[in-house]
Amino acid sequence: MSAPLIWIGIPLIFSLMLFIIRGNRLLTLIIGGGISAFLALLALTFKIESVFPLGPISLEISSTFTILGRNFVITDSERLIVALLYSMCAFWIFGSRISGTNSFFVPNVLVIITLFVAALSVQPFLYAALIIEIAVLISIPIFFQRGQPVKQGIIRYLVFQTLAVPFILFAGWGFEVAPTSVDSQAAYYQAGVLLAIGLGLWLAIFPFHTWVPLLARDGHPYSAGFIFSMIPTTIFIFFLDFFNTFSWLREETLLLTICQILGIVMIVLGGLFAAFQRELTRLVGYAVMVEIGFSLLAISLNQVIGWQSYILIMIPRIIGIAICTLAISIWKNKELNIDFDSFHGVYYQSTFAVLGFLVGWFTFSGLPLLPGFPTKLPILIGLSQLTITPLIFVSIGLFGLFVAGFRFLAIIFSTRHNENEIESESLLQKIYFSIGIVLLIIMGIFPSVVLNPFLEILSAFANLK
Amino acid sequence: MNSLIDILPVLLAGLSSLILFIKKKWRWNILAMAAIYVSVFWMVLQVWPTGLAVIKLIAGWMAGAILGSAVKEDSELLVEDNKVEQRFKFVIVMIIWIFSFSIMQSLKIKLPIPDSLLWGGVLLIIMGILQIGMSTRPVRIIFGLLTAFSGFEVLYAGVEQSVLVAGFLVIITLGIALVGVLFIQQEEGEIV
Repeated sequence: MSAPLIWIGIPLIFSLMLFIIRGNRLLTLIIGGGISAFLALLALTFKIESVFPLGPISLEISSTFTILGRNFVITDSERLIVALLYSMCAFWIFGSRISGTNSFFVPNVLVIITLFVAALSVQPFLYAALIIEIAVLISIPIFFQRGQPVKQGIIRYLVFQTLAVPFILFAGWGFEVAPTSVDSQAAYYQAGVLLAIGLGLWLAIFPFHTWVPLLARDGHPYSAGFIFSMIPTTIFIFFLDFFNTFSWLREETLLLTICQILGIVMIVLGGLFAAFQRELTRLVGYAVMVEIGFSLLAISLNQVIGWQSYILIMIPRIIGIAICTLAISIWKNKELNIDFDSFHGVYYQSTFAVLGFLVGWFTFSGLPLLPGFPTKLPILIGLSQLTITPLIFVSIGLFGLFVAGFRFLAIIFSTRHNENEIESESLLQKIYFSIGIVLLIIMGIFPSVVLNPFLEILSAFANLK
Repeated sequence: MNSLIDILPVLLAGLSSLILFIKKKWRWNILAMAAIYVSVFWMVLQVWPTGLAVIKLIAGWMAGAILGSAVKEDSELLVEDNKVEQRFKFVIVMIIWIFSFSIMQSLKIKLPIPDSLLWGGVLLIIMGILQIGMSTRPVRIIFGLLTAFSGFEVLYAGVEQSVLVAGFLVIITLGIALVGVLFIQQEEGEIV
């Protein structure tokens, strides 16, 4: 028995089964969520490359699975990454119960997460680009909404993600041949440029950011939220592999400067667009841009504090996006117009969803006592050590997010012009939002207790500690 | 480029991608797709063994068949060609081809692959991106993606011969075609 067989093979078989029985929504959800939670627990408890006595027999989980001459390797130090991905998978699958996603959501989400695990374990790791592209193709059906044509956001997402693959693969090839090249410095530089374009397309980094707000508007909000949270998480971990493997990347000041500039541009653009945006779906898209910007800033620090923030910022981001998009999905399902003007007095009809959205939103904004604050603060401190100028721009971006949040706050308590009648919330919705809100608040108040264990993820990247 | 045999697949790639770009008739599009993959197979044959190269041909034809089978006789996708639009597109293609041939020498220094692969690959990528950029209909964007991706496959075949990579690329080609079918069905309101 090998670890890739357990964490890639088994869920792949289950997702195929779930695809066949996807008409039975509740059963699919229970099996899909159950298997994800089980695999997450297994990853937390089982040690890879150790012998387990199982009654009269003993079981050893090896780390490697070989197929067509290439290896899939999940080492013991990568168990926490696997656990994180599957626990988030369970979180998203269970949340889909009240989000009104289509029947493709559960089986496709399970297979997407499985492919992400495969992408992070394939050797050589550059083949991950191909596996991530397969996951992107599988993700397309989850955006479809009944009776609606295929919209621009979905198409642009597909095009940008597909065009990233050639850049990443050629960058990988460039890194391989550069040491033997006549002008290795130039070869490394060209490979670096290709890598930057590929990652820019993948992560929606400026100027390739346009698909994010469009997908938020055109796809199903909860499905778009899943993509916004899980694709960057996987790609940022994949990116860590690059930094861990190629030491010259960490020493290349030009690359780090570009990361910093792009990070600041993403934060400023996301924040400013959010401040003037009236549509809630697009608002989440801009928040995602700000979050990606912070991850780039964390990389640009190239210090332990930066790598730690890079990991820590991912966890509240996933939950924040989930809770915000879940709230929007519920409002959209109730045929509420997703525009600020339609939200007068919504607090009194949809209290838990509104509170969930606000807690999620102010997590992105970095409000103290919410997890966005302790995870973003080290990045800001790291930035301020060199010069204060980037900090001013970052503050402008964050201020934009705060403005959007306060504009929403001002509207939801006002009862005038409210022509929308929406049903009150179900018990299930209240439970879901309560869990999300409590999780974020606990993370915000006790970050060292709840978030710091995730720093173990860095143990998989020996050169970054 | 050494001989006519090396130039022919590049010409075939250029001609078929041109037809795919300027013609809107469904059957012409599928035939052009099939021809593109013949040229891809032909070019890849120079660097890969026949057994491995034929995978590209089969995968491409399967992708075309998948897309072709999704269109019904009464579909809204069966649109007529517009002569003025065709002429405009033809002129743009000519400009883009001249541009692509002008950058070929600088690319040749960076990519150590046979000339015909480089020419054919770049031509297909540029035509694919042009198709993606100038189309609004989801299905035509899928054609553009397939064309651009086939161009990348030609270039990458020159530097990488892994069976696993070939397998993944086949899955992606078929996956893009299947997404195209989903787009067609969604446009026609068939997905529940």
